[in-house]
Amino acid sequence: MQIDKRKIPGSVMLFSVVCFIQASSLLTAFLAGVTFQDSWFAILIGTIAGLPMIWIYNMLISRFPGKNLLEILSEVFGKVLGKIFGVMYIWFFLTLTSLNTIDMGNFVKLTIMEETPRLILMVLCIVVGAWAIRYGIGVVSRYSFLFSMISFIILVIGIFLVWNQMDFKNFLPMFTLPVKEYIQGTNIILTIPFGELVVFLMIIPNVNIPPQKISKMFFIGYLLGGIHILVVMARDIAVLGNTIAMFSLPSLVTLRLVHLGEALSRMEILFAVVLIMLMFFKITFLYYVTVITIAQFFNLKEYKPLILSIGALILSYGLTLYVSPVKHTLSGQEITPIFWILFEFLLPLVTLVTAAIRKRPKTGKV
Amino acid sequence: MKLVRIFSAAVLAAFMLLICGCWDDYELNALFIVTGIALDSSQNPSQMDISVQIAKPHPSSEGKSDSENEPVILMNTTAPTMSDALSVFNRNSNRTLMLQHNQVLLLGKSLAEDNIIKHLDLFMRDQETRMEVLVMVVDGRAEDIINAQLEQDSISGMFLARLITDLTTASSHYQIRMIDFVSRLLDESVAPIAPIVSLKENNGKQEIVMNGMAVFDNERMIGQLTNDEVTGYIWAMGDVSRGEVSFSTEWGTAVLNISSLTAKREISFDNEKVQVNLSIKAQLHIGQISGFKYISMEELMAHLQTSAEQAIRDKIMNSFEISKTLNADIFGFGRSIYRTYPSEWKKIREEWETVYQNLELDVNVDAHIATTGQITDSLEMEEGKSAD
Repeated sequence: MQIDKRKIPGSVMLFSVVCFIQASSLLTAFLAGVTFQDSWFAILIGTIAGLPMIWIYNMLISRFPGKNLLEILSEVFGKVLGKIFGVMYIWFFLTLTSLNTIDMGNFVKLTIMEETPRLILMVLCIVVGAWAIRYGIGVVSRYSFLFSMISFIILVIGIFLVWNQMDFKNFLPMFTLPVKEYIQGTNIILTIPFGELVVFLMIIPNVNIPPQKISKMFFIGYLLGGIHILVVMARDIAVLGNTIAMFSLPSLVTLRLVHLGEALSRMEILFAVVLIMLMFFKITFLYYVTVITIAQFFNLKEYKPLILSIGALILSYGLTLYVSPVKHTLSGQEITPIFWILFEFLLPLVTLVTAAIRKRPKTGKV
Repeated sequence: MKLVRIFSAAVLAAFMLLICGCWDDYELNALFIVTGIALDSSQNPSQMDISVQIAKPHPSSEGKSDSENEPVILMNTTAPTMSDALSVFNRNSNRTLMLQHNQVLLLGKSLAEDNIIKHLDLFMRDQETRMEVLVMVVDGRAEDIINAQLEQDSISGMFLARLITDLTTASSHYQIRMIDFVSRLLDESVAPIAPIVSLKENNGKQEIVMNGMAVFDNERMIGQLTNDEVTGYIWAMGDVSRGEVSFSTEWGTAVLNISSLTAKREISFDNEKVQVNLSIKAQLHIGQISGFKYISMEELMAHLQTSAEQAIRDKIMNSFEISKTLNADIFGFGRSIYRTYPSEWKKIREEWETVYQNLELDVNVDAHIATTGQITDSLEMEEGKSAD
């Protein structure tokens, strides 16, 4: 039983994964505050440590071809337990969407539109997203290739523009922080952008290629996204040096420092535009996943009636989630990275193990 | 029915355009573009005198008299913080102050010697201000520089920015932006520095001259390098692509131009002592020589080379001695130790100031004179030859 029957090609899925990870460039600030000049290393380790996680997702995909996460859960754990886990995932997806919407609102307010109320920015984003969702997964994910290419290009341009300000000595000394800090940093990078890929388990049945190829697409997309974040981080460290931990948006400051003659300077708007674009993609995608998860949970035939009401829920939930931005950052650094492991790693792992023990799916070959 | 829906969608889309962005509209004719900010100490110690320089858009050529066409507007007030001052300025002006294009942040010497840290927060926090603004100290009152009527550039803020841009072609270490300043401030050992300028009256005309660099400790200005000592500092930092080495010996005087100069640091530890080996590689060419009669070209080249090496070494050592008397690690030797020998650094970081006093610097200069310019022998040398 599938609510949205539209199909997307494999390449679109690949670039959706890339885009999804790229949209997390904001979080480099969380990381820089923990691992300083070694943050690139935390990302590298995080990317490698994330591979088993992706492998678990891929195992689930190939074990249950044509099924999405909710169907897998109810098949493996039975009706009742499956529904309970389903509710937990609904909450998880909803929270993710709200958090990202809030992040985007804060970002735009902080960088380009200082006076504009955050709510307006968020409502606009959700309304446009709702429009896309009406037309299904195809529209939601179609722009991923364009968006990810634009951000790759702008990343490369950005590197050339700040080339004269990079000081590779800023990476020194390497590997001198306490081990605990590397673990914390790796954990942040692993759970916040990489682990969130669990949402793709909801749209796998819509991908129009065989399961083996899906895993390949998943891996390639994951690695491209990881490389992007790694390069962004390395560039920012090389330019900003020991001041990197001070800024709430290191990439923005990096591009602000561009100075090639009097004409080519103050390029931070490039970063802002790219990030808004990517954030919009990520929010729409998460929003879509939330909507279809809820629709499927209640066995609805149509998901369209839910779109606007869930959008309203996302907004009001997001606005009341944290008392202050400080609490938001703190929980982003300390609480969520631990808590999210449950949804991103433990539950899929438990599902996979239980499926193996209970020999599900019954008709499958595995 | 379908038409109605399309129509209402269009109306809604139009609304979206109408309701967004109205909050952040900026019209050029409602803005004052700030090109310089000066902070000075005030008679009341809890306040400071703040002046801003605002560039006027170029007047159209309507042939008004010069007095009506002052290129800048100056505003000043006395307030406890920069934010307070900004609100005063905005209250008393018909346009909003825009800080994005601010070129320089000038600190009066007496303020710099008092405490600067507490005044910097706004310049880093506010989205309008930028980390690339140049930081400078003024020998005297900073507002005098802002008020200066210069011949070279009508806006003194722009003048200073161009002055530094010009110096940057010689070495990037002349440029101290807010981010460079803060980076040194955050570092536990490196002493922040900033160019120091002053205003000079010359035949009734005003001029801004550079007087070297101000040296800071963790929060206040503690001393000053002269222009000559700054040259030594710049050479020790390497990455020089312009400059002159001048010296005179018993045979004559010479000026050699630097076409490139690089410095490499090697650090070694000997018990409690830290030894820094600085190897300088310099590419020079002859700029100007006089004297050196009765000397062959080969001898001269060898002579110039050793003398130039000596001159470079002396200048660097001189700056190093000055930094020792100030006890300020302007060269960033502490940072180099931290970066390359983090475990050794842990042992000495607590008493870095005493370690720095006992630090031994060894400068090895390897100069190479590439070309002699458009002529080979000087006139005096030709004379010497014919006398042979």
